[in-house]
Amino acid sequence: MKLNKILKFEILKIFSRFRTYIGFLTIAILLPVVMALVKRYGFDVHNRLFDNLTDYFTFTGSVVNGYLISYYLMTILWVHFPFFIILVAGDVVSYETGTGTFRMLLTRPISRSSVIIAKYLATIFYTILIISFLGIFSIVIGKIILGGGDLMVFNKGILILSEKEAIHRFFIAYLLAIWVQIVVASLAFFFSTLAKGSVAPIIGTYAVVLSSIIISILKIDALDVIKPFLFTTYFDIFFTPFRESIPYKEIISECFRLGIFSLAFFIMSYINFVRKDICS
Amino acid sequence: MNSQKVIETTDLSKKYSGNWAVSNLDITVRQGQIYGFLGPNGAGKSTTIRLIMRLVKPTRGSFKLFGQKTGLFRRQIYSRIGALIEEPQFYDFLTARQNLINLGNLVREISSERLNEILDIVNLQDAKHKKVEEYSHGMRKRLGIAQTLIHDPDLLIFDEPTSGLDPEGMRKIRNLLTVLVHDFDKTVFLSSHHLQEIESICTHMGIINYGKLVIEGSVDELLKNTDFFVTEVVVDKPQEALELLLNQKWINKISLENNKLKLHISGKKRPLLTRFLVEAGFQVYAVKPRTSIEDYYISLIRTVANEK
Repeated sequence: MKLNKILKFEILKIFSRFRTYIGFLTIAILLPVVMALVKRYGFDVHNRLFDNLTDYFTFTGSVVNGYLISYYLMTILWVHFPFFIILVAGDVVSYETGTGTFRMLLTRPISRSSVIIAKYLATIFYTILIISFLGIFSIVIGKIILGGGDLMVFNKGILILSEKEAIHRFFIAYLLAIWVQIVVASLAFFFSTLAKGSVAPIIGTYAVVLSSIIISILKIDALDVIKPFLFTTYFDIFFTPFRESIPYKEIISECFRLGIFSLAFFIMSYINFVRKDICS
Repeated sequence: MNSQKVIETTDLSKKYSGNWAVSNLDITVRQGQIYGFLGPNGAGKSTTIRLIMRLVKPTRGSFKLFGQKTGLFRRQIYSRIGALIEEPQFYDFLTARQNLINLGNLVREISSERLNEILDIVNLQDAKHKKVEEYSHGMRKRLGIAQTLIHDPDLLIFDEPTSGLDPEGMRKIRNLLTVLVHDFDKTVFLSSHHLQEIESICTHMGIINYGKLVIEGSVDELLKNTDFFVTEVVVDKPQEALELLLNQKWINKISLENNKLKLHISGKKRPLLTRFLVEAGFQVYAVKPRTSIEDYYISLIRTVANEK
């Protein structure tokens, strides 16, 4: 009952601040602009790929449609999109430590466990909401501006998915994207419990994510030793549904590893928050 | 007085980076008291309140609230407490109403009648829909007091509630505290730098310095046992009167401030003083006995500092 009330309050706090809407606004402005520009000027990268195939295949009409651009836009989930998650998750606890509002909140007859759990759940809620918004908005706006049709994906060959199958694959891909971004949110949340202001956890988390991505994608054999211990090694999991057959075993295995990371970050956040002295 | 112990600390201590912020503190606050907690900056007043509210963990010792021990997961007793610790900090991006309702609801369901009643008390009814970021310092203070009262607690803990307020604001808050104790049977624990505030509204007090309790007791009893009775005298020629009285051995100490003579004499010698001045040809307009907690406080603080 109390957890429910704290959670409602936490969600109200998250959604009463402008910084929460920066991600939504960016998506709402950027995506239609990208789609409109593709409609006006074409999609050069894809066209060049097709130029190589015209010797063997005959294409009628355009394979560039809303689904294709939505698929390409998913690459922003790698490096750029985590910023919007970190912006909120890195601020959830540190803001209150920095401003001193914990003096009001934690003098109520509520346990710190309830507070940290509610804050974490509210952060997850925001993460789910913004990723879902990106997924739904990119597909809907893509279809409106560029139209629908089959999705042609280049991934170790050409995969052509029917419109219905493409939507199904997008659905799974975005579920996985949520799972991946929850790890980012959990890391930012953990850093947030350590800091007395929002800047350090936001920059710190982003720095960790970027450096981990760099190590994960570098093709240096020596780095293979640490790659399994970096959550970014499993970041590309949301592209796996666009293989010819969906590798469920691989997905489950990698989701499990990502889940361990999220859980570990949350447990560290919990212990740190419950034990710390509120001195601000 | 055998009323219930509302706050009882035993050997309560807190160490920060090798320094004891609070050390072996034993204080008792009983129901119906306005307990003034006095001490200079850094004496350990706020740390004591933070310990009692479990914002920080004690290094040693324990405390009971309403006779019950508390813990990280045993916090139900805090529903009987409203606390304002240092400057009130709210969620600036929310309205005053949203802040109060949501903070209050974490204790018990707050009705709109209760909300309006509290907003009327602190005179913020007209500004309830404003975001707190638009509030002035005084309004924030009043909102801080409102959040302590919203769930109708039995014990109110205030840390410097009148600091930064204008005299009118200070007076209103002091009156409110007195009304809460006398008319609503609340207990107030008040940490303050304002010695006059303690003197005028507190029934009991504890003085803390270097994290240690210097003295504790009822304000009346503590002052009765001291020599710090000040008599203010208003005469027609204060400078001349001062020069005359400076030579009198039966006067411990005398000064002239704002054309008022301030004498340290016992109450028994007050008639003698009046007669002496009249016989010396002065027009005596007023002889006002005043007990000064300030002198008492400073003497105790100095004693502890010297011992250290």
